[in-house]
Amino acid sequence: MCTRSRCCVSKAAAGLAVAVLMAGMAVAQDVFSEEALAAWLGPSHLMVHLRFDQATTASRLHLSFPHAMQHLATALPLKSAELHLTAGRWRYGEWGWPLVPAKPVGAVLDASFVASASSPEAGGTSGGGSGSDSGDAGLEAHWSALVAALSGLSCASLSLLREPRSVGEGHTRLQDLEAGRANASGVAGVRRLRALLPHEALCTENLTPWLRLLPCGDQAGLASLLRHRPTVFGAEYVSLGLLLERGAVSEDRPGVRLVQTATFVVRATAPAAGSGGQAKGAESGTGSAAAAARVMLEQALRAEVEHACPPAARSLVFVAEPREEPAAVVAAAPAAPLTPAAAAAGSCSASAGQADGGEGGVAAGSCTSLREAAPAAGEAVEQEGPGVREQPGAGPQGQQLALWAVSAGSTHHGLTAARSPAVPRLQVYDTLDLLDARGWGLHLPLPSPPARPVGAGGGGLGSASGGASGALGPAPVAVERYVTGAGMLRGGMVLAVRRSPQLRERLRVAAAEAGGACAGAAVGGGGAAADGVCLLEVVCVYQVFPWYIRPWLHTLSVLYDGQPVPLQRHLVSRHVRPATARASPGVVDLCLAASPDVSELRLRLDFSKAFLTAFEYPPDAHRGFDVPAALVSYVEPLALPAAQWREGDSGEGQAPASPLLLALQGGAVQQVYTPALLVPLAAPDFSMPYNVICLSSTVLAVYFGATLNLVMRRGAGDTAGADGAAAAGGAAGKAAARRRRLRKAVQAVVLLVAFGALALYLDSELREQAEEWLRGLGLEVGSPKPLLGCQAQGTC
Amino acid sequence: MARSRYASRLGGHLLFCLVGLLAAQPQPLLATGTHEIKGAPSSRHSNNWAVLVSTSRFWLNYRHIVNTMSIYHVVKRLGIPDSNIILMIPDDMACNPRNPLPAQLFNNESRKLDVYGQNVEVDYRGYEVTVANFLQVLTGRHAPEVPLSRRMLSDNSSNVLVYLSGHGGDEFMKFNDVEELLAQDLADALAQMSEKGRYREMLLIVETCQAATLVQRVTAPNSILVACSQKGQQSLSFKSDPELGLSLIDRFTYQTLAFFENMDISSTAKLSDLFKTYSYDLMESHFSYRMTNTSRKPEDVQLTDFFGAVADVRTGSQRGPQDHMLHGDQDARRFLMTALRTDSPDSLDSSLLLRPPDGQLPGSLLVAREMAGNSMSGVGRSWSLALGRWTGLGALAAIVCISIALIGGGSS
Repeated sequence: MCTRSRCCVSKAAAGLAVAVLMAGMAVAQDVFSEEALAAWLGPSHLMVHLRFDQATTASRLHLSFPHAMQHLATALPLKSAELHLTAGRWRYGEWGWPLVPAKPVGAVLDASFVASASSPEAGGTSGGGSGSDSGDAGLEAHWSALVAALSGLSCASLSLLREPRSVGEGHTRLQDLEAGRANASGVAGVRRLRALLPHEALCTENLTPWLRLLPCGDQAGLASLLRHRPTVFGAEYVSLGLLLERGAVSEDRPGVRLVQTATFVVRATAPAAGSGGQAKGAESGTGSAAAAARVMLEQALRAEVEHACPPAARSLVFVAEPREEPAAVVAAAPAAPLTPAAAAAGSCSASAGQADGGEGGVAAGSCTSLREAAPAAGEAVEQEGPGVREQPGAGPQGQQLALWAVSAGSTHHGLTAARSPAVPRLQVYDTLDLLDARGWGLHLPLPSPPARPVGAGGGGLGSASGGASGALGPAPVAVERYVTGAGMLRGGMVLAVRRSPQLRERLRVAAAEAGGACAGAAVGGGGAAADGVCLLEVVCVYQVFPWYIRPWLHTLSVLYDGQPVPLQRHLVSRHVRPATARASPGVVDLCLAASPDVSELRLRLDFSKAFLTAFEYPPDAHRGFDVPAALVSYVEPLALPAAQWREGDSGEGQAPASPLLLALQGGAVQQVYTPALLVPLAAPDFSMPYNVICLSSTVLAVYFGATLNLVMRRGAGDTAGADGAAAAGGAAGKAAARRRRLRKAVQAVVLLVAFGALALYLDSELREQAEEWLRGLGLEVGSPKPLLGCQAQGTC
Repeated sequence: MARSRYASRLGGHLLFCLVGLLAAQPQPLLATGTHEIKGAPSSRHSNNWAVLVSTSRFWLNYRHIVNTMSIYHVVKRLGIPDSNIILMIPDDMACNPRNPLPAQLFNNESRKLDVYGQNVEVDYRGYEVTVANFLQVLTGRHAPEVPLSRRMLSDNSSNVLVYLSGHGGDEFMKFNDVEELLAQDLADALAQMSEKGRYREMLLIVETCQAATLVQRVTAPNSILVACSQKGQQSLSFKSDPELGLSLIDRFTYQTLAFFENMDISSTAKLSDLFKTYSYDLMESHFSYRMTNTSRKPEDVQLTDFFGAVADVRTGSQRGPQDHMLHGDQDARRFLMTALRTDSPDSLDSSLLLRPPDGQLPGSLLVAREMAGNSMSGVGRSWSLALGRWTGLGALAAIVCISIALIGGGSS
């Protein structure tokens, strides 16, 4: 037995070795790349964003790609599926605009399915309606399968999303608003579904299967930054994302792509410059002042990256530079090139030939300063008004000018506005180099945090305080949503979208440049052009109402800057689906045109609340019912399609290939989620004493009612008999009356016995008491009690 | 193929019926020896499953979650993999906003042992912890789309550990504060499990008030039922933490955890050893146990049979799966080579990973107002609904009219 098994093992090992060898020859259909981004959001808030990209073209034999995801992507007619689990809110006011889009609290599942080719055929055989029905049924089945699979793969209770009552058809995307594409469901044969679960928790149990999808788990590579769970889940904002997408390398080589993101905002305080108290985490306890003044990335996360993850084709760490930094940092850096870490830091932050000492070469190689510039950066700098206005008069730092860029070949819409520092400058480090150079840990010093929160910007239009708008600056759009009204029957909801003055200015300029209808609309104050609307001034709001919140659409009113405006004149697109009770949610998807002069859009809507049946209430009904977050999308004219990340001062360097940088670049359409709402619904008293009292009172009432009815009522037969007896005289009448009384007594006894038996049957304590009484009377009743374990053991 | 499988299943059923008939015969027909074999599971079990359930929601019931996580910690430490553990946790305690120690759960105010741990997989959580789901896990009757990770895939050679913790009373246990698991339901589910051959031997531990009443109706064979309290007794909490402001754990589970913390997988401790550590002085309740197979004694039951894992690999043939793939037939190699058709990582990287994000604006910034495309899909349905409703009302009215007419005619 033993020898046989050993033989088996050796054979298996040989087979495995051959397989690995062959796979090695054929090299990797699987690509894995990992990146991290760290950015200060305030004096004590550090955002860390990890992104893991995997792709494969192999259908079964994977080196690193998780097979379950590949199977899921190919078993369903899936185009893409995106799941985000989030805890905590992104504080736009304090942390500014997020570099990567922030998600609402709870779970969001977005899926787009390729509309199957079978549904038109079905429609051909038996009418269009049944065809679409069968298509819907198929879609429902696919959705249900996807939800079940993802809930197994993420340990979240997503099965609550399986019911179609929470699933809304995908929203009208702003970029699809172009003529002919506005119908949300019909875009290029793709059906998009989305569902939100606002009350879904996020904890270690979600991270565990998430990490399992990575080739190295959290044992090596950048994912080991997640190893200290209390830090990760003690963060004020945590979001785990999972994006599964089908793509293709070429026509005949379909591929699958899996993107995993983890974003969290941790509290990390920079140690005071002189104290060096926190520096004992890093082993350079000798306490160079510069190193002590900086927070190490790993120290902030209380985790260490010990090894590189071998399958990673790319392993990069980006560190965003805070805006007001340069002078101080450059001054501090060369002060103490004692430890290698400090040297690297110095050369990085100086971003030029600050390298001194022997290891300067290594550090300079691994650390390059990236900034954004357009292909035609030469003509970038001085041009039209907006750039100059936004920019705080060519401050002390020369490199801010270089961040401005012009998309020279903007053939799309003639938008030649400069791209402002919407994205900060980044330092890029290669993890492999860092680990090679120093071993055991990245020891990556972060730049010193900004003195005040990035989001709490100056606010003024031309304020000299950095003047940064866009990401890592004050939010260009503030969204607010709240419930009005009191009582359990009806209420109202207000959604306010405020545009910052900077955004309005940008929109105005962009519209003027775009010319045509945009310019006309901008000049005319909006809404004048009947035939077309400039996309720049469109704001879309997508809101799903659970069926128990019933919006009254006729009460929908729109206020621009506090002034009510007619809805029809400003409506660009509308997609409204009333809810079906217990079947599907209501969807209100509106795109409104608001000229750049409008600073605040306010939508107001009344709704009534439904009564639920007793079993439809969740266990914590008194908490209130969640209304999922609304999605507001608008156009940010700063984002240019031709922008590129370039290395070097003037943008002549090579653009590094990085999915994270591509994602940071973002698109022109920005989306922001409102916070979720809690709406109280009338809930019955679920408590046990209440129910017991109700039930037993009912039984008692029925008993007493029946008895009283019996005793008090004089039936028709009784009166007739009495009359007859009176007429007939004495003896016969008495006998009849006695019979009557007897009958009533018998009936009363029957009632008493019936209800007594019912009470005895229902109430075991009463039964025991009755048995006690009977035993007291000397009767032997009741069954012997079952023998307890402890009695058998003799311990009790 | 399918037919033969069906036939074999039919045969199995027939056999089962036959056995049932035989068992129903009076004693002389059945040799006592076979009875012994049927009663006592003699061969060793081949796999382990654990179903660990907490049934209480809300922050104030922290201790019930900790109870269940303690047992999870024990079974995981003793080697049962996550794939063989079904964990049902109705509320998020570790990452609860009220928890000052995020992603950790402690059984003791000394905070030495984090029972939550670094890696935990919860299979059912939140509103999904329902009586129906619990019974479905036990009996294996799931909806077809339920993923395998949420099912208990046990067979008649599995040892199953079921642990329940929560609020309960006389013959019931509250689930998620809205519904109850009744003693009879539990007994029926276990009986069904044994009928379906879903376990070889079962250890059911209940930590709730009046726990003994919950298991008193169980008659399923080869089950060991352990209850922490008797009828009329409370299952009391233990160890409160001033920072959390709560009781941390229940006494019975605390004692159990303390016992298992001193044990490893090579231990030969018996169930009776565990029972000896339960004392009324600590728990202030009488624990009890019952074995439906009366021939077994706590002295015979090894604890690691339930709390530890057995990794018993069986292969159908002498060759391993890899041998089939590579050496067995020549096609496999060809297949493997086609499956491994090369794609250079660079092309993968550039075409799949480096795909620009969505959200680019269309070419023209001008948008036509599109009102025609608006869908009011509910309208047609509501019309038909209204129609149906009115038809029903009309029919009702007609019936009433006719009956009135009939009654009137009868009286006149």
